[in-house]
Amino acid sequence: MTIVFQDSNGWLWCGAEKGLFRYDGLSFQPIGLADTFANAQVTALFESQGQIWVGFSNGAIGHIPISGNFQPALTGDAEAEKKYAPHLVLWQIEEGLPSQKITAFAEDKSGGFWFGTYGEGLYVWKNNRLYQFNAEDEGLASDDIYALVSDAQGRIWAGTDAGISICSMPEMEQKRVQNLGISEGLPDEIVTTLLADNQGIIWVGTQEKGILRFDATTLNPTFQIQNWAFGEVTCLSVFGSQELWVGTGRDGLVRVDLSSGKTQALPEAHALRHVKTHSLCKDREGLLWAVLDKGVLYSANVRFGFWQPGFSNVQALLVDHQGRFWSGCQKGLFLQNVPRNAVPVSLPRNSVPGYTEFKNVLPQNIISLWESPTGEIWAGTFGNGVFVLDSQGRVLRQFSERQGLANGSVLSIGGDGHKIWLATLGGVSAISADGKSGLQVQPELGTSYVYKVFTDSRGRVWFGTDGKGLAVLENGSLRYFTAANGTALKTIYSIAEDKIGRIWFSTDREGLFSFDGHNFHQFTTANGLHSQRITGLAADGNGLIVIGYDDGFDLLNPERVDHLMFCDASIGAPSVGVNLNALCRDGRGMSGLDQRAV
Amino acid sequence: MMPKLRLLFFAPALLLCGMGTFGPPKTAGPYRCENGKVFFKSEATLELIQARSKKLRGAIDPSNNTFAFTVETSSFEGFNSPLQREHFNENFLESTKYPKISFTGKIIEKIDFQTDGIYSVRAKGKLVAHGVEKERIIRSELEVLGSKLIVRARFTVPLADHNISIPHIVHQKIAEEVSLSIEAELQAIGN
Repeated sequence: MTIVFQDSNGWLWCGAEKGLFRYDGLSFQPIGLADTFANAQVTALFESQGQIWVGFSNGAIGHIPISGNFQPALTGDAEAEKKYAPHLVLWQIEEGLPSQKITAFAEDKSGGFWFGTYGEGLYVWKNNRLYQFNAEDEGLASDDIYALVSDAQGRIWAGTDAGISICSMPEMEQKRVQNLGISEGLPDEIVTTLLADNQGIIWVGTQEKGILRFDATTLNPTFQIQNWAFGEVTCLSVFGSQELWVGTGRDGLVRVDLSSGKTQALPEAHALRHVKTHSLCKDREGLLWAVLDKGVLYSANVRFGFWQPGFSNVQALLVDHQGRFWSGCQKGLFLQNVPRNAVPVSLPRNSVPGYTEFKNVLPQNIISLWESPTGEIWAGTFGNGVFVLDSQGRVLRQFSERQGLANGSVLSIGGDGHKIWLATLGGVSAISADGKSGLQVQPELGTSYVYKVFTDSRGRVWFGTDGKGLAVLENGSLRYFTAANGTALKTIYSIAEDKIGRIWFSTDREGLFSFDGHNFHQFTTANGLHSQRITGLAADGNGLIVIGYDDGFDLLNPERVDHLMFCDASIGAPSVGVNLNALCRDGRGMSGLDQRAV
Repeated sequence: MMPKLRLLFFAPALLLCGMGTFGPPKTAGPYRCENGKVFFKSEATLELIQARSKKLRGAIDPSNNTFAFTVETSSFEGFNSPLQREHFNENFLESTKYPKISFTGKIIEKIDFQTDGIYSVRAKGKLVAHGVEKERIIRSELEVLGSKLIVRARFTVPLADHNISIPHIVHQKIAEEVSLSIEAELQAIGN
């Protein structure tokens, strides 16, 4: 395999030295190739106007509709597969096609369809006519094109053997070319790959000097990795504003933390540490697909990344309104003391330790955390009650059994601007937010464990109890749910709320439930749940419900409840258990595990 | 860039005038012809118009892959009627004002002019008709046969591209896009 590309329908198209395939997630559908293509290698893939465009090493270009009537994939009957396979159609235009390798496609805002070649420069198809840009006639930096992207202004950036050429043809035959070379800030004239992100940034990969980015408006380089040590850059994939994955010619995949500029390759002993990366593709679900080594297709789930803060057994995790992480474990409460934008994510497992610094602000065994609307941090301990800290981690006050707390071990904390509930091993205590009323035990919630206190977006307070099911406090009255659709609800461990206000809760044995205010819906292993032993639950920043288990996560899309995706170590997700309060939400969705944060 | 561009047009012009020879001694060509054929075809709803000229002049210089071809518009004959020829020259192509159609430029592919064979090439250049210049890439077949080159090409020309307007009253008799075919035998200069 040489190249991988995802179309707007979600199918993956895989080009090979001999052949083209469509991958539906389960199997590969071969695409029939006429003789023109048969002995050529697929070198470029692109989608335009409902068609997949395929460039070949012999200069041929073919196309096929993405919504075509595709027969079932590989049946084992070679003749039948050949007969019924959908076929690539040769693009036939009066001008004829190049005789050199097609290296890239791009599309500009005015409807121009561009393709680059290795040896003949650049072509644009516009108003049913083909035009060429080359070095001699139009001043292109070189006729050897490696990559094409379009910028927000509708110009085409061509990465060549002799720098970058920015090309456009706003009116018929009005060809414009502007070249960027060493004097314009390029560290290396051989530009091997280009990537345009959605913020108007052009990422540039070079033969020897790594990567840099250009502001497409000012044409100024704004970022460059210093001391690049991984040789040729072959492909790029960007994840948000924090993270860039770089395919290299000899060092496999390299991850770049854009906030710090740090680079990280796979561990030295990894089988893919010193291989060529041929192609990268970030799919719409956040998976990274890579063609590595001898053309083998790999996928990696870069939703999950490891972050090793230097302490273990995370029992509680909180992201405060400033975006800083508070982490509770047996050794104390740790506060992140670096800016949020320096937090690295998506490091491969067993990678080098993270570099985020934490300080221990409270040497207590912390098992629960909550931030009040005024920004105070409430830290529940095992045995010593609850501590209230300011935003710098300084202890303001403490509540223990001596002040009337039902029990010194605080499993969960929740509340609103008026009242705070402290769920302990001996029932629930409440205190007014201004502290004037003092602690009061809430006998109506029993004297046993309450695992979770959760305040939803409508101000209702939900309690996950041990034995008495789910309780909700609304408008001053408490209501219990002890059964859902005929299933008895007893022990409730975790509670979360999705984007449309549905409440989700996990049970000790009955799996997961959602509640829309009127009806319950149950999820068990029978309808796709990985396991009914759920150890944590949260809604992530993308609107997904994250369900934690001892051996991974389920990601559940609340709008498509039939779609559950299990993520375990095999696709880059952690296989270590999530502690009850160690699953929390920030803008992107983060969770804490018993060994490290993810 | 400009000096190269000037050279591009200058070299074929010299060739057409038959002045001197170009390139290293052992390089094939240059080649030229004086009597190539051009076929014109307009296939409109109500009328098929065909005409031809045997006065295509052209030259190809293998040393720099450049070419130049030109034909006088008044040299087309074989129309359905003398009146049609008159309309062709006076109303549409305005032959007095714009007496020639030309195509000059470079061959994109690198061809081994020393080796006999049929090559599929693309010619990139400026097509000038009715006084309007358009950039075109024209797919051609180029046959190397000893000291001869045989060029064959077929392409279309939208009349609107060259500001050739069709009076409404005859728009069903003249196609908006006409096709041209070329067949020319070029001889190496000095052979």
